[in-house]
Amino acid sequence: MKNKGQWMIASLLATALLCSAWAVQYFVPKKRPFKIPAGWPQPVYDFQKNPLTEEGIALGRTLFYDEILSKDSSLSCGSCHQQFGAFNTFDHPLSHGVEGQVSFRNAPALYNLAWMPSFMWDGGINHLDLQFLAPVTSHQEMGADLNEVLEKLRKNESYRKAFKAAFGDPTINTQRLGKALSQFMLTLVSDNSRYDKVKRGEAQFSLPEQLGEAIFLQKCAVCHQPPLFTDFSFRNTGMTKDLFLQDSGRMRITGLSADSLSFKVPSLRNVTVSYPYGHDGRFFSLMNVFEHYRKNLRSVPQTDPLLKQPLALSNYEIGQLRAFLNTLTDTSFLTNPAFAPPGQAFRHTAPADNHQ
Amino acid sequence: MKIGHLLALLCCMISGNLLGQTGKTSYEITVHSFFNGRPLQRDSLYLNEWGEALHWNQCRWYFSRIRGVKTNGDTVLLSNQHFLLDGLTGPATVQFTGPSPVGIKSLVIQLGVDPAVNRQGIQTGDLDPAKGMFWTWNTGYVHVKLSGTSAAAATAGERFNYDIGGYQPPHVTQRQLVFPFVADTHQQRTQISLQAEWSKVFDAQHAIRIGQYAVCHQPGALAVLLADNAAQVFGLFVPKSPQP
Repeated sequence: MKNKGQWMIASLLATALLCSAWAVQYFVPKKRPFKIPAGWPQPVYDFQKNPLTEEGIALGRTLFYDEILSKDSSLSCGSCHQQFGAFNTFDHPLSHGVEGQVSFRNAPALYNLAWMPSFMWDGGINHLDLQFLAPVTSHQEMGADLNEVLEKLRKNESYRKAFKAAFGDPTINTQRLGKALSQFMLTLVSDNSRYDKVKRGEAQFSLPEQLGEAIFLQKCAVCHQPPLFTDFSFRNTGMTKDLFLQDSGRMRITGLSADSLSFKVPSLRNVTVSYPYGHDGRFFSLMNVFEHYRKNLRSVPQTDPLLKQPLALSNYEIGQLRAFLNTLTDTSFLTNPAFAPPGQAFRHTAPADNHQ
Repeated sequence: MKIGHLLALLCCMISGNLLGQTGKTSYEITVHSFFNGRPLQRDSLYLNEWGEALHWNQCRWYFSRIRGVKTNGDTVLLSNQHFLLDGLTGPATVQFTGPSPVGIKSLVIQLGVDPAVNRQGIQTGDLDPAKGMFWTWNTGYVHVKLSGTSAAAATAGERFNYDIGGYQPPHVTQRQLVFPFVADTHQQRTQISLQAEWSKVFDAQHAIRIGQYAVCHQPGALAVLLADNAAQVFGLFVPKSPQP
């Protein structure tokens, strides 16, 4: 009798072990491969340390659009990074923050982040996983205390489940928060513009677009190198210091006067929808930018050697350049429902006016 | 085989794993914080070398890469963990298990965080950015964080604040601390007592007057001066003799 009871316990234990093994296997997050577009360089992001999974991406997307990350639950990442503007701040030169605050920089567009070696206009942040900490904790942006954010998330049953689904257990910490947000942001790949289709042999440039590309390659592509349309360098492009903002750019990070007013070269993909331009959004239109480069730039010792003299750009050339830059708009990226707030389709809320 | 035997076997397997770890020595390093020989406390008033009166509000630092150097010159890594210590909450303690201390003649501890860690994204535990020892805007750890108030500080709230960090040349601020290996070893437990004399932050190698430098919030030349001074803060603990 005693033996029978012992064997029953052993059988139950064995069954429980088998069930738990099955459950562990069943609930393993489903991997999502990261596709590198043909002809593009290898990403710099280390996917080995944060492999993309369906659950991780879904969690990151939910977090990206959740106001819970801000001090007063009024702003999300998506408040300043709007899909129709290639995830930049539509129409605002400077990001708006909690309690009427205004930051000192323009919220840049977000895409192709797996290739980006540093973040912020001054390159001060060296890892994508860390990037969210800047806006979330900045008093001028989301104004939150990181520990309070973590506590809010830990108290939320949905998030405990979502973190468990993404990472195997419900632990919620800074690292997992950053990794989840990164997973979503890494999926924001823009590689299907008309330009890309032409390069893949699926479309042809019109004559103005073709002429524009030739001018672009001659006068712009040293810094805005295809296919990412940036070389990720920091350059002083002859912009004057805004006396109110007093933003010295890369010099703020390195402390070197040689880096005064140097800012990251932005990608030009989706450029026609991601205005205003410049680190402080001072250029409201592409025409403003062209005017800067051909008439208004002020050469100082730190100005990039390529811009010691204004760029020779005729009105005719500007017309062709604009035709070419329009081919960098990736409509499938801008309207991809997988990038919209969870449970919502793409929102066409961008005003119809055109700042080009 | 009876179920009891099965369970006994399981226990043996588990304890076998544990025994694999207990073959090492457990270390405990205790750091006693002082200011001019007086225990460091929040509510006490202290005077630095320059006659500036100050109260302390924060005194935290990282220890990492704890190594032993043997008599033959070989270096033994005792722990590659990072430990965040607090000097205002009584003696701060670091505990870890590591290789045997036999033959070790000196102890080397890194004051600060390993440079490589600054480039590896978000860490957990004592290195979690939520611990408040981290700069996001210019990615990097704050190795030592000292703050308080002093009438000498020409700042809002008369606050002084020294965030000592920076890992990129020329403004490298992690420092290697070397001590004679004086330990109390008993049955695979090794205890080491250190002391931190925080007044040296103001005068050990460079003159740091609060009236002149009340704030260090970024990597740079001032952080390097402070790091040089902070490296002189630590030494072997010398218990005070009882007063006659």
